[in-house]
Amino acid sequence: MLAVSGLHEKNLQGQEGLTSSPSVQFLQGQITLRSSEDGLSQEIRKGDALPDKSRVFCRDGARLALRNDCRSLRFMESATFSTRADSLFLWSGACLLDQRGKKVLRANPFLLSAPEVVVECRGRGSLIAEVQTSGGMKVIGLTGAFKLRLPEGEEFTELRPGELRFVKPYGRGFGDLVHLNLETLISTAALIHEFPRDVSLDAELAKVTLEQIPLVSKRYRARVGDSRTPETFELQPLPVRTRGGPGTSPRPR
Amino acid sequence: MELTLRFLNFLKGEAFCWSCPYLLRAFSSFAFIPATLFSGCGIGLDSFGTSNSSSKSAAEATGTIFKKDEQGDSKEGKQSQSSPTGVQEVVELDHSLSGKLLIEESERFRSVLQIDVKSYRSSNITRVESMGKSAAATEYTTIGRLEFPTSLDLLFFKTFTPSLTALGQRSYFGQYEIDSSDSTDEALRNLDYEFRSITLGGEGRSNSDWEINLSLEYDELLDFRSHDKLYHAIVSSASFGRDYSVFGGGILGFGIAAEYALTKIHQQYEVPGVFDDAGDNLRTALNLSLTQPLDSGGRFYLTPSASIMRTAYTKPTSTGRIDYLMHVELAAVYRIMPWLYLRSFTNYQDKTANEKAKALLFNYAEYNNWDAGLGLGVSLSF
Repeated sequence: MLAVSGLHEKNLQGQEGLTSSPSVQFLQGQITLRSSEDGLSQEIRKGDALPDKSRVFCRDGARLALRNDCRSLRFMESATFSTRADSLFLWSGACLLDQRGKKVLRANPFLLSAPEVVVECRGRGSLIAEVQTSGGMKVIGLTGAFKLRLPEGEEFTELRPGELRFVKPYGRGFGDLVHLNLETLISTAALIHEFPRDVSLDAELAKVTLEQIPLVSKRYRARVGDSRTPETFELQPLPVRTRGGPGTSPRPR
Repeated sequence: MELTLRFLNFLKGEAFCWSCPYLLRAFSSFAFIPATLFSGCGIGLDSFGTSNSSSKSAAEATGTIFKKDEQGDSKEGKQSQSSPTGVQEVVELDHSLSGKLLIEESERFRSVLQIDVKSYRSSNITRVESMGKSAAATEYTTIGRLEFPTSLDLLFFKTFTPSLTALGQRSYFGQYEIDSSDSTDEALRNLDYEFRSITLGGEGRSNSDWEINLSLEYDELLDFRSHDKLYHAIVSSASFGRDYSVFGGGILGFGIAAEYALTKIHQQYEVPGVFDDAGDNLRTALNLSLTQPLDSGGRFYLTPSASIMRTAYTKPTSTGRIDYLMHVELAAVYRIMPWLYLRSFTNYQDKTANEKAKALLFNYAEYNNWDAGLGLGVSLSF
């Protein structure tokens, strides 16, 4: 964990000042910020820029949206993170990264980190990232196309809408590609629909959902769960009543 | 004459935006989006249990299936339908999605070519006050539109899209009968016309979602048999409007438009008062339209619309003449293919005028007319 943290810091220093620090665009519920290990927790308010080397804790019922000139980030309860202009260290929980704007092409690639992994995200689009029990990370493409790269890697791995990749801890690379049902995902992900409406994001999500429907050749009554060890992840039976899932669409495809 | 009436006597140059705005927008979408949204249509879906996908399935991936009661205190046990990251249902796809953003589409040049053939019956083909004779008409319209990349945050606009639109339309009257009472008199050939226009415009959207359109347009009317120009006009226009979501997937559009036309008449059109060719004029209009999808697939639309327009002539001989035209239409559109559509319509026009107009146009100053017909169109985007 320390090694990853150090890499995060190292990369951050090279990028400082290229884009503005994220500031609070929306918040709801209990969210606290701690500027140093021994520092006192303090409340944050709308419009505040997050100070460097601070860690943010999203408590129960929290909703937090940050924005700088080319990206926005959303967090919910159980998320703990540190962020700067071009990077996010997600200690726990999940986030939604939205960098669809043109400006992102001129900015540094976004560095997304979990306790045991770091991944570089290039491209325009939006994705969901979630810290796993293994210390790795799950990344799910929502819109646009990302190119993901590990710090030591040469090759890029593409992430398109509806695609899920596990970033395995301890430098073990990316997991196998898993396709997800976007209709089910988008209609149930609180990171998408429990925040103030973003009309342009809604339009993009509607587009990918419609685009995926005719491409689905097979559906499983299973959903992807946690990755608790570096090389495995869980598949769970899907509840029959899942919205948009097989339970409501008895005709298997 | 139906479409041209919209252009000249209804709202010049705004056929894209006003006469059936959402429909055309929808067609634009059909045209722009099909390659992405509907690209998968027609790709065979395998029956359950078989796969034509080359990508590795989730079942084949390194995974372990947990039953609910075996999950223990796994993080996944907390995943519910309202969890931050949602339900991640595994599927297989024929191929990956394009990953093309809508916003990227708007950042490039786009063009649309629309070709439309329409056959309709007009109850008062010569637009006279006492009910005139009915006749059939055929109308061929070609529209080419080039949209420039959308600018973001320009002045007070959230988005602004300039465009260049060219339109050509030819109408033939009395060639055949739709009803036995329809005239096929040779004299109706004199009504045949060709109309051309080219418009440089821009569509802006404010932060509060009001849409503002500005345009400069050149129009001309021709007798295509003799190649004589009958009339030309340079028209500057401004309009603003707003869309409201109604009845689930419906869009209610409201708009106000104003335009000023500098005109020059070369030769009088056969029927006076139909085209605004009697001198420079100021036109104002109020429009209301609804685009209501009737099926979940977005193939079938109902598009009622209503508008009222006032045209005040400013010079030279018609100064003081004011016309009012009310137009009510009900149209249904069926999209046979993403690029091919069938349209049926009926509309009613009621024109009234002031005393000056009556003195100038006599029997042609006021009229009412019903049109009803069918159209077939192609809309392609590049």
